[in-house]
Amino acid sequence: MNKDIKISNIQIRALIVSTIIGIGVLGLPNQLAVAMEKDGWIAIILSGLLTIPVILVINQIFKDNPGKDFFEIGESNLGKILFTICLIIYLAYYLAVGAYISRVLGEIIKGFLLLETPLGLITFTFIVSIAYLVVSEIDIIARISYMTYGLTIGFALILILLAIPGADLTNILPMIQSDIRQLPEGIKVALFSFAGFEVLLFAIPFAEDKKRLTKTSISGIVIVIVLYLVLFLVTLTQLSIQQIKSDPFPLLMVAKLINLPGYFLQNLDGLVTAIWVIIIFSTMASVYYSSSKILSKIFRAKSHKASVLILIPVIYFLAFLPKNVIQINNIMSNVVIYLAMIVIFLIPFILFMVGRIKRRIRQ
Amino acid sequence: MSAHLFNSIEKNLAYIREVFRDNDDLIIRELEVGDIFNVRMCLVFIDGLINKEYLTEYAIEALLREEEIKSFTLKGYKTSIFEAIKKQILYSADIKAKAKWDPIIDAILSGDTLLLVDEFPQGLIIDTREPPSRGIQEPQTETVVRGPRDGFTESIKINTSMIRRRIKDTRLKVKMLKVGRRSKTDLALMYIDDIVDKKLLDEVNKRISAIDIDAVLDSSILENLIEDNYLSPFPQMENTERPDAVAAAIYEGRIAIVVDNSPFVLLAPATLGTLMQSSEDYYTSWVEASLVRFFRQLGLFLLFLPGPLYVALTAYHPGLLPSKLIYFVAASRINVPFPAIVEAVLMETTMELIREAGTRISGPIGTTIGIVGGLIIGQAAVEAGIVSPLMIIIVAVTTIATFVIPSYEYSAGFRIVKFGFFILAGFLGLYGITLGIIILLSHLAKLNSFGIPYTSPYSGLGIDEGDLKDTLVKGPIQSFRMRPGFTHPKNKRRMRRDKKDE
Repeated sequence: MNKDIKISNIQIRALIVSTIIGIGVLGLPNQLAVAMEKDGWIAIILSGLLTIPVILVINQIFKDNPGKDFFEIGESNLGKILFTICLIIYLAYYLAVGAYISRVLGEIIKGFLLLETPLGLITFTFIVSIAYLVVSEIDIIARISYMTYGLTIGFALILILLAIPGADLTNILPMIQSDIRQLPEGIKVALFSFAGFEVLLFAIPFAEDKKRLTKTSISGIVIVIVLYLVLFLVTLTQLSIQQIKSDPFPLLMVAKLINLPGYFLQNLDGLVTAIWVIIIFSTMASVYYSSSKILSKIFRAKSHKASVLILIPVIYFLAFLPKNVIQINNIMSNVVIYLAMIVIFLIPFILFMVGRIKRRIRQ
Repeated sequence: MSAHLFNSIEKNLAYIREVFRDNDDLIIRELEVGDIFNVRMCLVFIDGLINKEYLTEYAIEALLREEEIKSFTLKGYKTSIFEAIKKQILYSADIKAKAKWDPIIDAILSGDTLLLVDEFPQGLIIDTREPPSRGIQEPQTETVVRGPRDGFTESIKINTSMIRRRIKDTRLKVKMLKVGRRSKTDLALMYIDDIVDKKLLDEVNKRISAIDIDAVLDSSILENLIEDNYLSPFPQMENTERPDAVAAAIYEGRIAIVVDNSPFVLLAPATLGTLMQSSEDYYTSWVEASLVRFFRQLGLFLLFLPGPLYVALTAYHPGLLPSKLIYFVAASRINVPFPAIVEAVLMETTMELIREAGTRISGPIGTTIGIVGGLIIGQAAVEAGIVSPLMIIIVAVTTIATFVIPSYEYSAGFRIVKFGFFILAGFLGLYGITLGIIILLSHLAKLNSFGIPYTSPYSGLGIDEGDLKDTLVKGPIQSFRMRPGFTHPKNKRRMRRDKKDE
């Protein structure tokens, strides 16, 4: 473990927020509306709260094993072979998410900004640009996250301010009309949009102030919950529920409807897409970093720089494996979501429990 | 070679003549002192580096006039004649006895005078340095409306004293070092001992002692040698001509490196925050300073974004503009035969040529270049229909914005980056610009300045200490009760406002 790398607490909070908020935020209102109509906000709050125990567990794992990083803890708790299998699951998950992000980004850019540019070029340039950042260590990614964190929040605030004049508050009402049986489906959708906080597994060992870490990480999740809620409600006030259900990216539609005062800029969707690429960038950076770090650990390489290079073609290839958007969505909701549940919820719990049990036995 | 001096003055002189062979500006003045024994002495110095009047009045005259020495024998009766000269006779303020050749020859080369006495294997170094220098003038690059008007000169002694005048504290340290095997350039590290972070100081010392080069002609060469990433277009140290800026930086816990022969003093570490500060900000009202800061930050974006945005919007996404603006842009480009990217590169190239010509040539010809370049070419290009008037406006704004940034090197970095953005915008439109921003942000985040993140305080370090008060805006002086956090100062409190704080 490299002792020179240091991440401050505010950077960790930013890392959580910027990693979680990414590709999901554009489509979240749509998916929630499909699952739970106007009551999607319940799913946001509930699944946000569901992540908090996991965060506590992750924090506790590192408190139980001070001075060790995730890989060392995993190896000592689960043993080499079992842990390597875990790492391969992690790698599969991260590569799937990375490929998904790159492909969807390409599709959105092609749909909104560059109608005639080949999709492959867009995706490839995106992966390569991020590879430039990812060859460095997690403290650099934390710095970037802090900058995009400011951008994300500022951007959301501006969007909300601009949306106020055209807001129709009656759209939000009536609340709590949906069937309780729809709730699990809504939570499944919303929970996946909270994926990303597992970056803590790689960040916590380098935190400067370990005492207040739990509080900081939870505050990060709270910020995300609030942002998601506000954006969902803003979408509701701007569009009818039918529109939200039929448009895969309702937030872009909202941006399209907004006119800047004085009509200096119209059709903000292009601009929003461009800025959103920067928000995605920090998500992709943590995902890419995590996958290359895991790959280098599986092969016991000292530096993860080589794996970053190896993963460029791999992610690119995986991104173009599905033929169309429908296939992508099928794979995501049938395979990757369950992979995410294993990676985000199950493995940290197993690590924690095994560590505790082993300690008991030793005593 | 580092041999001791010889006993015989003949041998010593022969040695000096050998070392300084073909150096016709070396002057050896031989004297015979004393009525009885006529002790042979000689003064060795280099013409032009020393103050001759001073040497004549306080060394030669003293040696020849003093009654005491006339009756001395070689060995003297209480003390030796050498000791007597050192302690009783010479009027000079700074005298050192040396027995080895290397320091003596370095001293002669720096403008000191060597006094040799027959039968003594030692030399007296008399400080007579007066290198040719200009007086203290107003800095050329960082003028202020209000604030001190003195600027650094090429002499390290004058420069360090100008900083000392502003920090009358024994804890201000001036550590003299030498770099350059042949140039033996003096440099001074200045810092306040109980504020500066020891790790930072060790890092600076380590990097300077690792330098092995024949000559350091200017502080910029030293800067390139010790900065973290020498391949980056962005400066990782700050430089300034203003002693008040240096003093302020030292009070913040930073380290100043004064290099002889250079009027630019280096400051480490530098961050995105400090590079946007100008000393004028601290001498005007905080409201005005904040306003100026805002426009400066805006200028930073105007420096590299408008041109590429123009290219991207006209070539790829005209739909993003409001309808009225589209018609206007389309009408202004109706006669232009080139695509926007060619038009932009054409104008940017012209602008760079005009700028380079204007920088090298000053005075009346410079004005001509300004008129021909700015007015005639711009006017003619638009009338001929080669470029659109909008492009001319964008290039003009971009150029003005480069001068808004206090640090020349910093704005030059963005000027270089701008060309990359043009290429990206030409190929990938708005998405290309976004990619450019991603790469730029990544590059900046990867940079360190002596172990301090270059992107401070925007990347987290120093936020808790309130560094944003003095970067994004400039708060009133009463709000700066703590030193900025990015330097990890040992002594944090800057101001006490009431009894409770003490």
